[in-house]
Amino acid sequence: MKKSTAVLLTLLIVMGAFLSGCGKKEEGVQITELTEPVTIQVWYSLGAKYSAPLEVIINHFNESQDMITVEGVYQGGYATTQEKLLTAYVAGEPPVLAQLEQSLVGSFVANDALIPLDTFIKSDKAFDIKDFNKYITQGATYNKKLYGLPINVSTPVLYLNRDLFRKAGLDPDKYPTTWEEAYDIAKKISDLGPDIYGLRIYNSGWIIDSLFHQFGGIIFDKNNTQCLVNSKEIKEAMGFWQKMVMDGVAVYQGGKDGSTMDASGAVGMVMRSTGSIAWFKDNVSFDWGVAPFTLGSTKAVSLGGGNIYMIKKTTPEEQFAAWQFLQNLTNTENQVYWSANTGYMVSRKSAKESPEIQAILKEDPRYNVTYDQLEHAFARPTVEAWPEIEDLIQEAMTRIILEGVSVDILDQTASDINELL
Amino acid sequence: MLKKKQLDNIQGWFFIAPPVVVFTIFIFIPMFVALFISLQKWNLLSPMRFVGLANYSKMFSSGHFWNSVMVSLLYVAGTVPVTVVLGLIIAILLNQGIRGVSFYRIMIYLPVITSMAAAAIVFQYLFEPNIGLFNHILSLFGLPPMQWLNDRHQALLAVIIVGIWKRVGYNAIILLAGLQAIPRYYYEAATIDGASRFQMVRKITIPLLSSVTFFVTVMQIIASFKVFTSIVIMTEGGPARGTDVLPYFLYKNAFQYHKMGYASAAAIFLFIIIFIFTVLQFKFGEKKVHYQ
Repeated sequence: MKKSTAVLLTLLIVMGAFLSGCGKKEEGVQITELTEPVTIQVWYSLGAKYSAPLEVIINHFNESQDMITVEGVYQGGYATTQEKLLTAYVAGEPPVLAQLEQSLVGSFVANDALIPLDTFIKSDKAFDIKDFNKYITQGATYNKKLYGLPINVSTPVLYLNRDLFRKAGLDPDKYPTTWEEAYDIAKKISDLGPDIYGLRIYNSGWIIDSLFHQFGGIIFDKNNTQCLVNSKEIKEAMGFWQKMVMDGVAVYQGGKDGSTMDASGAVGMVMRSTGSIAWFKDNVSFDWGVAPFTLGSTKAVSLGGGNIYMIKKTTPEEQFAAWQFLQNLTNTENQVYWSANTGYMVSRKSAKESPEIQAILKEDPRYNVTYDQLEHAFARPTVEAWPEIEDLIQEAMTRIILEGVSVDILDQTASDINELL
Repeated sequence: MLKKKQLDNIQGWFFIAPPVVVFTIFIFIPMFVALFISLQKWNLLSPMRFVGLANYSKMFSSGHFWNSVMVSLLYVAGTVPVTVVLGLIIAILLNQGIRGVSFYRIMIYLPVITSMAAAAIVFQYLFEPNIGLFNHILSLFGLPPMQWLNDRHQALLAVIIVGIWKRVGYNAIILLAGLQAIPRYYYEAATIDGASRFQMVRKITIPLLSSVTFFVTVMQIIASFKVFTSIVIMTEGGPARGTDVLPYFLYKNAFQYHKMGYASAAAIFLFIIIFIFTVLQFKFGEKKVHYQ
């Protein structure tokens, strides 16, 4: 008989489920002191140059005391980390700390797998949550409780190829402030040649969520009970992008190939993470600038990147140790270090005011943009079925933009999504 | 006191114990567990809930599921005939007494032992629309560039090409073994009768090779239904579900959407398809043609 891979995978899951019964531990018990050394794990999803500064902070913390040893474990991209964490949680052996992307927290919140940090914050006199920017912490707040602390927070900003602006006879300091202006600028740039595009767009969840908001649309109603992707506003937003691609003004290309295009200098404008500043510095040889991505009638950008969460099914000792590390990781000094080395935002006001960050902002004003638009940042939806919903929206978008299908297919998408809510 | 026969029996059981244990743990138990889960609603985090055949009825009324069935069938239809026919041609060529034949055999078999994950990444670059090798080759013949992995329909063609590249060597080697089992004197007799090369292939090789060809075809169908790695790495089932084959569909539902029951139902469906072809192979494969 022939096996099917799926059957094999299923076995692993089931074995995990059986084990989870044995792995249950008491939750929420507060302790105030460690009597013997503990080792805890923190799972993160930032590879390459972003993991190095994090490991430095971890090493520093480990050397500063002898009761707690923190092991940082790179688990792959955001989605992979989420999958692995889920499996480990079901198996009853999760790490006590894990970095999760803003939109992938839903299933953990809905199934009560995270420990709210409020009790730790209250009992720790030295920790001042008011020092954190409230637009950033809203991304880790669910049902009025704070579940995570920010690590690599970002917003999408508009990266401009200033050389292409000049070639097209445009003033590189005059960036677009509305989608209509973006269209006109992109049109002039794409007229430079057949392989040159004014704007690169792609269907990454946080980018299209920003787009929808900018056109006045939202994906879900207030209580996340109904999907509104077939609203007039969202149809208009999708139609606008469709037109940009159909007119040859924008190119629809995501993933690695998209980054390759950015680096090749064939793209006039592209919206990418705050954290991509470091990438641009390393990979781009032309003159580039950064502008706010608050286009559209409503000024809005989605909050991106990740927060670090504390996971249930761990011991009180681990949780105590985790809190010690967490407040060390997010203290002013370490935020400054992390931000200076990655380009991600600091989330503490005191870190932003620090001489180091101020010096960076003064020396390279491109870092300022993300802070300036932060007041327009909104938190991503935390719906349990988000991964599938995101796929359905992306699929509709791909068909609308690449195949020229009418935006009315969103009616079908909305009803498919409503079945998942 | 045990009789010798009983002792032999016990000994025999010990000898087959390792494969039986591995099979039981990794194949039989998971099979029944999947069947069990397919009757439940389960998102991993909360307890299972029995829902009867709801997952199946939902599956059979889902457009996305039938899209995956269709994509899988197209993938099978695209890979099977080409890999078998091409495999046969290569096998016949390799069966000639040409110089350096073992070198060619190795070259043909190399893709089979190459890691699919690594190969898929290389193919991603080859299929790249702007700087990829394949579009460059097309342009040499004055043909327009293709979008390959960026287009819903062409992406399936691209993964079919990779599937063919990966499997043709395996089929060729099996067919070659079959060819070498055909006694030489049939050809000698045919030569004396004045038969041409082509006639010999048509009248001797193909009929006498039919059982091996049948085996290769069935194995290829099964392998094509199970295609997964190249899809995960090259397309993730996209664009817009254009390459969303059944194994990827169920993987996604299980591990990204956390619908274990639904995914298990799809797994059972896939299992039944593959099982049918296995039975076919057992039933007809053995008693087709004999040489002596």
